[in-house]
Amino acid sequence: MSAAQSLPLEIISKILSLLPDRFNKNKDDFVALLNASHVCRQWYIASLSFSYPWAAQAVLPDVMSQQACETTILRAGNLPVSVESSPTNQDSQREARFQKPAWRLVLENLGKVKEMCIDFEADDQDEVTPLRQLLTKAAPLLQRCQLNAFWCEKSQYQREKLRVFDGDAPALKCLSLHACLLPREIDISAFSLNHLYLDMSCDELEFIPTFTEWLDLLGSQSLEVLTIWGFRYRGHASTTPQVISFPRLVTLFLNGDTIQCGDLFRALAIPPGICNVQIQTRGAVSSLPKGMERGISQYLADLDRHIGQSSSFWWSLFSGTQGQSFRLLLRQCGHDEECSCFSSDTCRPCRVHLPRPRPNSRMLINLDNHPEDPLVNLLSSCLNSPLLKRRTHFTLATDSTTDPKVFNEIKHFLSALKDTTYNDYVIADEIVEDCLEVLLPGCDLCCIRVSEC
Amino acid sequence: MVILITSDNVKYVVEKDVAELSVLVKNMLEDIGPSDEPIPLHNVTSTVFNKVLEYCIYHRNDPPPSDDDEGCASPLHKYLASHICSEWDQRFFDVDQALLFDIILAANYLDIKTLLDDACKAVAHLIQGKSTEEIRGIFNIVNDFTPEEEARVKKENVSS
Repeated sequence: MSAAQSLPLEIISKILSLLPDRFNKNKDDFVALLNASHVCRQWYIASLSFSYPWAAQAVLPDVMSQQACETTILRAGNLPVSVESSPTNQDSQREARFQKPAWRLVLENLGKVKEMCIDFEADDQDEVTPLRQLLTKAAPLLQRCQLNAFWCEKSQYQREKLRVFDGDAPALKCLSLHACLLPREIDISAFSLNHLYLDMSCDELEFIPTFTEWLDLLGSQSLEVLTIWGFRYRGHASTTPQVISFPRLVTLFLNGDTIQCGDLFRALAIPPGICNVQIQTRGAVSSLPKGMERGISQYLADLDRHIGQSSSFWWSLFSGTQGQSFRLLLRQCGHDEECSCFSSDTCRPCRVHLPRPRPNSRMLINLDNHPEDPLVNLLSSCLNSPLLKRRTHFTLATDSTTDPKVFNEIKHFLSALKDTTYNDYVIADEIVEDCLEVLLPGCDLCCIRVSEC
Repeated sequence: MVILITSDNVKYVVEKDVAELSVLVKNMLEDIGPSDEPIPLHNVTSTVFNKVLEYCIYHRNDPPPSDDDEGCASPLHKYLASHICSEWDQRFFDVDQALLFDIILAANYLDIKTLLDDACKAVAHLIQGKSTEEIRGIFNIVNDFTPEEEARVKKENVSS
């Protein structure tokens, strides 16, 4: 008998449980498990004696038969399973897919699901309705729920209020929803979420809380990651904003209207240690409310007081094409910091790896050809931060369309800083990655002009 | 230092932090307290233990394996967790099958979770994308199903 054939059952089952590609789960994983479990009696018994080879499989109702889904769920025994939708471009496969036996089986077994990642068409009621129903059911083992959709034009939901998962999802840590699935009011207070992602990218939504409702909604959680796309609220923000404390928050991403995002940003008491803040707003930077400027400056000042001068941060300020978007990005530098740079023309990101910077800050500014873009004003506000009183490193990244006047104005501000030097490089973006590695270490103020987009 | 003796009576003097990567050894050390007495490893030969020791020394400073809920891990994190296998590890597991399975059994006996996981992953990697017949060929597995049993289990494939 071969060594493989005489392995203990628990080891064979462990090998079987490691068969699925954890990153790219697909139908072949199920076939691979069947193939391996059919090689001999010992391996077959091992596959049936333990639940975890089956629980390690993803249930993929778009591409697996009802019987395959059922086999996986049954053989997973008491262990919860993961459910994922599969990308498909064929309309015929998408048509009424949640009515197909495999999907119906899965949607009826929500009590056995620990992870659920489903992409759907927000404009298709055949897809929206079953998922809305799903959100009303108890999900006692569910840990991660991602119901994702692209932008939709209009979403109507007659229901007034939804207690998500009937308040019965005690293991739920990550909730990612498109707002078209939500009625006017939702209650998630029964959960203790780490990660909340709300996508409100829809022109007409029922789910648009008032500012106070937003604060109540977010204040009920102790989040580590908060992401809101298309953030907005009904009515007006309260004049004396309630402050929501997020002591565990590590990542904040806000996208939406400049003023409304600014209002929320000011209402969030973000712990000084947080280093991953992104605010991406529509509208020119000129509409950036004073309050938000103050909020950012105060935040930077708090950050500096808390972290001290030994901190290393990457700051990025992006002003997008035609000044129509604004993006502030603060990230803590790791050993080998990976940062992002953007071409303002194409917004095509490139990723660069930098050696660990010295204990100071860097600022990457991506300008566009918009002479009235008041980035300078914002910078001026930021420059009041005590964070910048120590020696600071800047990288000024422009592209071929950058207006020289704006550029010179920025340079004027930066030149007032202590110990800065300035270099100007013109490079093609194909080689940005290589160039940055070479250029940045000795450069206090680098202008990198990306000549090709 | 800790003294370990393999089943073929080869004595190893191993630094304590390396030896304690084995939960079995760690528990034994805690049970017997400070002692110069060698610890017998009944189920591990020196040939296999040489490999186990090589792994433990290389990975002695690795952070302990986490049982944290991965529910919130990003796809990138999951990808890295499942795919990143250093060149050293790849070379380490590039051994003949008999030794690979012996390493698995030793890791299981010594209760070294990371080694067991990595070695099982190495075996799983050999199986991925292979048909039943191909897997039998790779591991010299004898098909011991009766024709009736085989026909029955093959029906499972049809339903997938």
